[in-house]
Amino acid sequence: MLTFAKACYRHRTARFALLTLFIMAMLAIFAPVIAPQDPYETKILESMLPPGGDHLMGTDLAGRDIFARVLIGGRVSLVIGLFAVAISVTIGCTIGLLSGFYGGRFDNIVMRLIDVMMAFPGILLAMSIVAVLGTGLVNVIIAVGVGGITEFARVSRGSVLAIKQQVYVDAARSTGASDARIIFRHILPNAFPPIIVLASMSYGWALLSATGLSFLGLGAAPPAAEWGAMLSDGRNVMWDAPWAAIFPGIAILFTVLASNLLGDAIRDILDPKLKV
Amino acid sequence: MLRFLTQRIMSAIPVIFGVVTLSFVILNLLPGDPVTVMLARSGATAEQVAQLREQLGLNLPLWQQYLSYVGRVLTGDFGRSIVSSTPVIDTIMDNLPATLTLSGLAMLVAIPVGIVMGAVAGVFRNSWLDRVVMGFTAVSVSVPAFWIGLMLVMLFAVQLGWLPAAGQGSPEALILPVAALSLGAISTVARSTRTNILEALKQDYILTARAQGKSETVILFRHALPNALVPVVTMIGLQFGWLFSGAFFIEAAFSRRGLGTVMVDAINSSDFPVVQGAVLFTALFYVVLNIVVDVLYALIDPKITFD
Repeated sequence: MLTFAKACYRHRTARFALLTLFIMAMLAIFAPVIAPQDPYETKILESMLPPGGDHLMGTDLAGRDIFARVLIGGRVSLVIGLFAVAISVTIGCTIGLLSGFYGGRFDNIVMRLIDVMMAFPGILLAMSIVAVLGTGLVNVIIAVGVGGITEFARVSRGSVLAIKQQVYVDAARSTGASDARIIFRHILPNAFPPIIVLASMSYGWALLSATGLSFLGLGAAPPAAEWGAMLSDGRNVMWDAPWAAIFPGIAILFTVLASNLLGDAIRDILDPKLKV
Repeated sequence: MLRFLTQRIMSAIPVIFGVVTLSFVILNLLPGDPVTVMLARSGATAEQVAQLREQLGLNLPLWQQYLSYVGRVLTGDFGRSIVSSTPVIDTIMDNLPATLTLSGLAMLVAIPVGIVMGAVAGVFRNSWLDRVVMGFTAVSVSVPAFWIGLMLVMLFAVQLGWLPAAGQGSPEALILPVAALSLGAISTVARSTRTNILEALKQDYILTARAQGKSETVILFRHALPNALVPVVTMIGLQFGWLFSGAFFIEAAFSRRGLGTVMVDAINSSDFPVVQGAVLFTALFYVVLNIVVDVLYALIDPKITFD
């Protein structure tokens, strides 16, 4: 673990990505302290002010400070991504681990199901789940999380199939270890690398999907400061206040870019030959 | 060839069946009853609710509903919209051309541009050109395509006034949406082409060609590129599926009508048959597309034989 942390520090891309994510996270956590204004306070007289002066990133149609909203929005958007990926990892890996470990008919059925789910582009699956559960942030998290399950199931199953053949698994079994012990003590830790890489990349995908759904009006409801919803607001005032759409997009760009680069970097560090 | 084609189509049947089943399951087994949701807003009486349930066949046992659903889908009947009571398939067909044009054009732009960018990056590996291309691809897969769309509108429509910002009347109105949508696909195609070119250049046949004294141009165009492009074809099928659903967001950004707007409107008005129909249609489209790509792949790859 320590060597892994060291390797991350030595890897230039990993260092840049981790630093960016760390800064984004800190800005989000301390948003209420840093934010110069109340992100929800509307001031009609200060409507659509350009960046500068009191408002670093300008104001939107309702006169709300965009810098404050981007900061507070980070709390929502960053957390959405985390929860969605947590859902994908938990369910996807459980399915993949069990399916790969037990094999046989069970594996066959599960994999056919995964094939079917993969026929739906992830975002479409997410949209249909939102259609059923109703619009709103929590449902968007669930929908995006479910949309990502297949990838994790596929990847974790793949690594279990390889690990299962290892001598140490046979050794564990010959000492009378239970299935659960073999899965948790021997297979899971060794199956981790590709899952971590995928999780890092999925975080970017989840954040993009969630902001996309909010942009379509299916996620965060209007006054909420959430990056996707802010872009949707910004679109309406594009002619008079372009900054309202520019800055939330840049925040998305930095976060997603950093998590994609981190995924690439971790893959390099853990195993250059690894393909996800 | 015919055997390969039949085999491929046969193997898709369980998937198609599964897709139909899943689309039924999603909208019927998850919590949330379409009729209650729909009529709650309009304040309908219990009698009207019961009537609509019967009309939609929701009072039947689930397995009967399922069988009749499969039967209807197989005959191309996707049900009727609860809101407008027009057949869902008509709504889909009316809006399909717009979405198909948008995603098809984006694909047509993305393939050549992506291949050229990827080939240049691969051939001049580690040069500044390579770095520019790789930087471009890293950034463009990290932003929502609809945001790129908004930025393009600000630049080319609002600031410069060269192109229309929205709508779908003129061909010019397609330029910005296509550009925004194709960016992600360009990056994916470019990255894949680069990786495959690097892989191809390492092969023995390249060494042989060099030993024969062939020029680098001949080696690149006759030997490396054709081999590198074979795997790219499979990816194109997958990309098209993404572009098709990606178009939903671009439509919203550019106020264009299409399957995306149909879907969003249907979700907002809890028009379940329309959502179900649009989702099912897109997934089936995706399955068929992948069959086509597999066949294409088999046709262009001389290593695959049909015996």
